[in-house]
Amino acid sequence: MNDLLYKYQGVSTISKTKGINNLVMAHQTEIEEVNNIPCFFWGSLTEPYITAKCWSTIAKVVRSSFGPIPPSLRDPIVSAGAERMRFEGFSSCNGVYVRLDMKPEAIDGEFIASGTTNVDFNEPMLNALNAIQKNEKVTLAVGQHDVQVITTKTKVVEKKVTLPPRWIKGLTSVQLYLADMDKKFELNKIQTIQLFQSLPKGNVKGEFYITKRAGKFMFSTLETPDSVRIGGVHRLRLLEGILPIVDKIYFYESSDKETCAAVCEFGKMQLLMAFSPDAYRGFSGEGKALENMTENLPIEWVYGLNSLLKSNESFDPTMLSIANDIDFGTMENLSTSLSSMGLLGYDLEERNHFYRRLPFKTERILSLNPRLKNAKKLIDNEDIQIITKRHNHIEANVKGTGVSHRVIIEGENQHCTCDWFTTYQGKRGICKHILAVKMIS
Amino acid sequence: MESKIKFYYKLIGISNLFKIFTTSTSQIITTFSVSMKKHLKYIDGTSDKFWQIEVTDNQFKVTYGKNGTSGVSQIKSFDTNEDCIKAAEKLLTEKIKKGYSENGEVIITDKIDAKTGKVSNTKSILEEYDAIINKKNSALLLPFLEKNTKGNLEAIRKHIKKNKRYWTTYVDLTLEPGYKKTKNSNWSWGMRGDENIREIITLSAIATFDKTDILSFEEALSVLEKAKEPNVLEILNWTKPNWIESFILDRFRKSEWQNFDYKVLRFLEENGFVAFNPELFGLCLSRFNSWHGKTKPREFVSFLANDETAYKRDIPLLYDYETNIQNSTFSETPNASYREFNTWNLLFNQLIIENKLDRKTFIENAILIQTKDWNNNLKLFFRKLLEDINVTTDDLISFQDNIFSFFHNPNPTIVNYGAELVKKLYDHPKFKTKSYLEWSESLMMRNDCKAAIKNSLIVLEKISKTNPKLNKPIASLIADIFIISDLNIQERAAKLLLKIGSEKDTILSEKLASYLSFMQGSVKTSLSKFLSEEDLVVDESSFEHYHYKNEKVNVLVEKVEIPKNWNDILFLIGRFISSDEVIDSEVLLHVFITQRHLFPSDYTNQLQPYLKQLEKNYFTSILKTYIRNLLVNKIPNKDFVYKVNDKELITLNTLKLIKVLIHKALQKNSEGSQLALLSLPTHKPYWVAPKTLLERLIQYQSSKEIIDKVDLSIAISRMPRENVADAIPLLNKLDAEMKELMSYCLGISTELKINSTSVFSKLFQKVAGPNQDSEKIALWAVAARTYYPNETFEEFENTTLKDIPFVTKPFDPIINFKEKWNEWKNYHTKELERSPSWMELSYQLPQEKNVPQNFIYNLDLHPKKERYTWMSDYVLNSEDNAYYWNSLMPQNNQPLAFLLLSKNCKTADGTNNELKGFLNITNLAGFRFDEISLLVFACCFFQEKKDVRLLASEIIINLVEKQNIDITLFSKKLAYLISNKYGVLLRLIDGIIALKDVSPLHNSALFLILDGIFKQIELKDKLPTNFKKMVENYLDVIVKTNQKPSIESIQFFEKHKENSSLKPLIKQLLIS
Repeated sequence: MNDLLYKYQGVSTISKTKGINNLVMAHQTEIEEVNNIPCFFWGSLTEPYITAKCWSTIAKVVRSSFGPIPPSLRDPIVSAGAERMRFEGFSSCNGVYVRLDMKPEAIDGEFIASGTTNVDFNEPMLNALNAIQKNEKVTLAVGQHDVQVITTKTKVVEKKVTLPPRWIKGLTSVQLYLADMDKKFELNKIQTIQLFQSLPKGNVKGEFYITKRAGKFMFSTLETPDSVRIGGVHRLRLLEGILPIVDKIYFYESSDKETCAAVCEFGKMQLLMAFSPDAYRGFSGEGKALENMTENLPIEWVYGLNSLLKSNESFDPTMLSIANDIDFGTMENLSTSLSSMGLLGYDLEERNHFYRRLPFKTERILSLNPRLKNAKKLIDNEDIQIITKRHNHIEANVKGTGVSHRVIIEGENQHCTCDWFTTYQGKRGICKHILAVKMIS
Repeated sequence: MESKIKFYYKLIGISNLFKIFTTSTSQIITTFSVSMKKHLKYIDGTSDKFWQIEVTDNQFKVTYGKNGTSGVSQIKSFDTNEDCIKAAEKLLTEKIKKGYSENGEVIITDKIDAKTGKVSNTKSILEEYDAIINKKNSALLLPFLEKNTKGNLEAIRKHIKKNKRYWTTYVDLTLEPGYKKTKNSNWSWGMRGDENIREIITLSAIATFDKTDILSFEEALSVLEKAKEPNVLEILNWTKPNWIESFILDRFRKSEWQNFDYKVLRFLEENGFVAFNPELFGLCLSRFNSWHGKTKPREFVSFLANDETAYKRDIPLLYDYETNIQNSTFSETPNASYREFNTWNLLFNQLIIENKLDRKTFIENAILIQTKDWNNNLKLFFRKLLEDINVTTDDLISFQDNIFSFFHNPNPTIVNYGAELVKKLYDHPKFKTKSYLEWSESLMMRNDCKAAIKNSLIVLEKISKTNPKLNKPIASLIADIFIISDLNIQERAAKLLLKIGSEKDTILSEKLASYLSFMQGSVKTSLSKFLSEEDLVVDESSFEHYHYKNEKVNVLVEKVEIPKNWNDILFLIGRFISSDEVIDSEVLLHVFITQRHLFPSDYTNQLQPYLKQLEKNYFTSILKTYIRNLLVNKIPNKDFVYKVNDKELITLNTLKLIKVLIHKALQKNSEGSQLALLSLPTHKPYWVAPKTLLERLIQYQSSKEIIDKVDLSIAISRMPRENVADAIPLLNKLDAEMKELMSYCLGISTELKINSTSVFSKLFQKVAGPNQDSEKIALWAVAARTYYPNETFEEFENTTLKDIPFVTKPFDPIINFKEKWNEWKNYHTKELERSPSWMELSYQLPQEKNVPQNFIYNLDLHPKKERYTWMSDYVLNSEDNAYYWNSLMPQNNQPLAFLLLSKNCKTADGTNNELKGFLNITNLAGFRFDEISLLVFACCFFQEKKDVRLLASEIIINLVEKQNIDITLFSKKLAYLISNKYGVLLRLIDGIIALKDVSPLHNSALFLILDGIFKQIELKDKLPTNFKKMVENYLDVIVKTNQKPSIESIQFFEKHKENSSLKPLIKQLLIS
């Protein structure tokens, strides 16, 4: 799978006229119909300083890398619709996901179209954002509101951006991690300051646990029953730029205690940052999605959804299933499958999915699950031999390279003798062998 | 809600529709049929591909790809069959022209241009090109290109790439025909082509390549830099490339070190080869350095200062793009630092003085740059420039809002800088005080910006003087400082608050009341006028006093599970490969003794994947390495009895005990015994229940199996005196001698029956030898040392083991500290110089004695020299080896502590994974500290590696909570280490301060630690650095716990009360 390469036809610009900063974000996607939308939103920011700081933090995330991959410029994506705006992005290593959810109160303007697209975050624009002060006025246009004015004034400079498949996949699978998270801690301003002051100074990496002791939150190297684990703790420094203005921080953790997220509350908007289990690991691993992808969703559904829901509209599978008497399992499957196709995002605070179609071709997203593909290949090649199959108990031999792997599925317990399973002991989802056995039984 | 129901039905509707559509398109009616199929190949040095066309009626299918693959297909349809066959034939001829043929041999035919009818001879053109290269004459290139490129562009490009590969790759030149050895060098690697050839090739690439092709042609950059030279310029003029801008920018972005002559870039721009691109021009300027190219820095500065485009348009770009201009330094005076001058500093200064750069814009940008996410040194560069141009308060005041925003910056340097600037600005008539107060809010709580807070306090005091109306908001601001746990800064804040705060200010009182728990030392009492009675009352009930409980905890809690079926065994092996648990290894060994009957007939086959993994895995754990070898031998044949070959595994004797156990297990295999090893843990992680051990002994006795004494020693050392009552009834079933030993182990008798030689030896009768007796005594010694680690047993004085440490008495050597340093001769002054010295900890060893292998407590006291590595002697090397060691003797950790002390605590530096392992061990249930392990624990607080220290302070918090550490003894060890200057004091202080305010109990423990340190510390000369910080915390914790300093501590402080930095603190101490 090759990197996706796209070119912006313009650049995001910020210009000051009559004391008002006008920010125009250039957008681009590989989906033609979205690309043809000239402008999604036009209006003004009600909290320009906070918004600018959050955008700078997003820019910092998308320009950072904590893994072996060198940092390269990637741009965030924006979803406009349902009176809301969301900016999402990933670090180059795919280990840090960031999203700014701007509630209706944060923006005052007109939603001309709904949709999701890539936006250009360039150096001059960030420089301008950095200069925005507390009482300044800022207008925002996502897409060019008035095409003529802009093109006559600014020279069109092509900007090329490449997105590796990893990045796109991360955007889809992080939603599944988020949907699995529960709120663990709520920190007020002082507690937040204390917590970050206990962040070990210097170049300390590795895993830490956020622990509450005597009403104080701190980072600790030892796990306690109700602590929140964060791997690659130095990544939290990405939040430093907004700490002085944050009201509250919520910490969320996934049920397997592997991933966690910090949600910074600003009242009118929220900034979410999710961290992969460790600095060297990304969210692009697909373990989470696999269990639910054993059934195929017809691709036409995607198009159906797009015509029914607007970007940022909430998607409630439970309500749907109760009202239509559809099996709960199927509906749950539906939302996970839609998330992994890049059609749903997950809102931690409201605990629901929202619709947004990632600005990439669905075929591209669907081709990103090699483990699923490999499992299907095992089935096609008839490499699986079921040995015993009783209620809740399956034993099978699956052909591997030069050896035969033994797969045993006993209710919730699944085992395989392959290298991958041996190394991770089920911590990173199931291997292709178990997956294949599950698919045919 | 309703819309969502509709939506679901719509979804289903759509999918049904789609099905109908797909079935109806498959039928196409045909009139007449035409068919054709051609398969062509193209095989040369670089490619191996095919192209195939199949015509069926009005559509054709083209398939192409690499030979041997099925390739990619494309289908194209036409209106009529005739059109289709025409198009197909056209394609076919094109391919043949390109050199495709049926057998794959590339035939380049002379082409006939369709329009002019001219015959072009590609082959001879390429030969002509080769001739130019061989003549090394670049002047011939342009005429050649002018004549031949038309119509042959693709072939020429390809040929250039081929030539590049041939002439410019590094090869061993000795293998080339006509190689001549040069005298000057033995180095025989190089490029086939010389400089001229390379230039011709690069020039040809510039002339013919497009945007994408050129990207991989790095060499083009240096040739482009010669654009002013006629041979390059004429090529550029002829080809007019449109890619130069993106090409150079791409190189700049890929490497920070890439540079390009700015003057040449401007030349390219003037000649229309490059358009102005801000990033390109900004970066190009910034990459100037004195060693690339001929321009001297001063010449470059004067060129830029006299070039209007440069200073008006390009130099301001340096405000917008992150560069490394701070590094562009040079020196002019001999022996001066290479940082004597900075090119850009000179330039900016000159331009501003000459008014060629707007001063105001410069100042604004230099300030804005401070909050950008840029390199800190670059920010410093601009700060320094601001200083150099003598920026005035009038200059700065217009950017005060930007300066205030520094207070929100995560980087303390920027915050402190902001506070310094404000200190200059606050009395300016245009200073926006309110805005300043608003921005300062977040600053006041930051413990990393103490300098900025101190400066702010000065400013706030001055503002309050001139504008007393603001006292209320200022007081509220100052109150926030009490969140920072720093006595000095809190005292300053309190002082100012007492001056300007009002008792009637309820907001202030409330705020202060909420910060009470953060207030240090006597700050709370000094602020009493703002606080209510209630806040000031000392709640006696909230005090707790730490005392060491020294309780025994139950360890026989979680039973070890033995695999019950084949699947359990299968996945136990998988778990073993990835886990660090000692128990997995031992259970696996047990499986090969007792559970072999569970193996199915195809077990070897099923275990193949594991065998492969084991063969490629490397374990740091010695235990795991031995068990891996067991598996590798046993997977092909579960009954195989092999000889343990461990030549490569030279290691500490203690870790090697597993070898004895494996031997025993294999012996059982060959003798058909299915009895478990005595030392197999019954409870996690490594305990053996007394009842089970006795049952095992009875089984051995009744089946007359020989007991391995190492196995028994380990079993005894793993047996806690817990659930003893269950075991006592079984004692009578044992032989007399064993009964005596086990009665002692269970605590029923305290008599050491080492001299009874009668029946006991029966048990071991089969193994006769000179060690017989001493091994027997060793068993008793192990038992004695396990249950009474610190006692003396005179009984052993009459035995052969009497001189072995740990037998009669616990090992208690004298510990020494020695000052060490590095020394070298200074090359210039020819004098000896010394590095700062450090202290090295060591202890003296008695003469080495022969130790029976089953006396497990003394196998590694004397260092074993390692022959094969640079390391002088054996060490544990990894955490997992520390865990295994501890699992062998969980009730007496002295041997492990001594090993760590001599190997890992010698100095406080270096990587010590073993210490991390040790710290995790101390946190396990059932771990009990003694003198030596406490000393190792104390050493951990001084370690250079932060992760060791962080872990140590977590552990102490835990231990205090469980009241499971003898704090008095611990503080004695700390005092001892400080007195001997073992390591950096600040590390220790940070480590133990973590205890503060966790709970009243922890505060009390902290008081005891600090008081214990002052009580016992012996300082020979001046106080160590940061000693004051320790005293500050002591003072604070005294107030928090309502304790009094001990008499000995007061005596210590009396001695130092004239010390200028401690004076005020000691004064307070002596009052309290």
